[in-house]
Amino acid sequence: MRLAVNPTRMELLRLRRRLGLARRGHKLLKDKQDELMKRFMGLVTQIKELRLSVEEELERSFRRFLVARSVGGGEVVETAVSLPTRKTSVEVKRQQVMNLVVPVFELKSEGKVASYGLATTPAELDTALMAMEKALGRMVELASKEKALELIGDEIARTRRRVNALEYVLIPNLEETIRYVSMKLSEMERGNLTRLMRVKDMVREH
Amino acid sequence: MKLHVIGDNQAVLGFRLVGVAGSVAVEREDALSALKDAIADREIGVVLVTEKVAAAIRDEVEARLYGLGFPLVLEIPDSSGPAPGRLDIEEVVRKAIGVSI
Repeated sequence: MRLAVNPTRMELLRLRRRLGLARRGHKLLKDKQDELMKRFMGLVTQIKELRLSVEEELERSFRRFLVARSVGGGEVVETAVSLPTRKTSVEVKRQQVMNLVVPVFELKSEGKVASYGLATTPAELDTALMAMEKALGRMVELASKEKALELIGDEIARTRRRVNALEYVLIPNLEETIRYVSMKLSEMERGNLTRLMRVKDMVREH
Repeated sequence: MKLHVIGDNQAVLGFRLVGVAGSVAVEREDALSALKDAIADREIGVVLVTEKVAAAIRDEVEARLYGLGFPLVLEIPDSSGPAPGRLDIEEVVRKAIGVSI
């Protein structure tokens, strides 16, 4: 669709400037999109692996708990874990990915892992604990990666919309308008020339 | 910020050992109120929900799982192992770039 402008030289210059700007913006956005896409794909593979390992570790840990319970008896285990000394919290940090701020979680643990007497509890409980501890760190990592993935995905969709708007709407429109204005200008030029020749002929005949 | 776990008895027990507080939930009502409490608590940064519980409150979890804002919700398998047919990462990918990989 042609833009509504007056076919003048001034307007032509202005349009050409706008086209240059639009092309530059388009290129930049396209580069941004490519880079986002690259990171997105990297994250996808990372998350897939991470999820598998988290699930595996968690399952192992739960199974060990089960063994611990059956070896040591339910009450022993219940009492052993009823007063945990370990405190776990997460710390949020911000990481910049392109123009996005992505939260990164870091696990902070303090206190002893084992809050129970080693003599009265089965050894399986210890291994279950270790596995749990390991899985927990991975889980937190997984959560922040999934968040980052979501944020980047949204940004990709947004950027793609802009790239498409420039590529398929603004730039073609500008090009069409420029063509129209320059045609109109040369048509006016030709009209002017013939008018001059005609006038000159008339002058010569007298 | 803290972590919080919502799941069956065993999951909560296990996580308590490594210093993560949790609420035991099996029925939909329990799970819903637990999730709501966890979201309302501004101290909680990550909520871990076991798959069985997540399945009971699928709609609520879904809205949170891939939505923006805090807290992050993560689905984890419980003691019986990963459940089949879980919402996959491919879904997110397809939503974001429109092609499946």
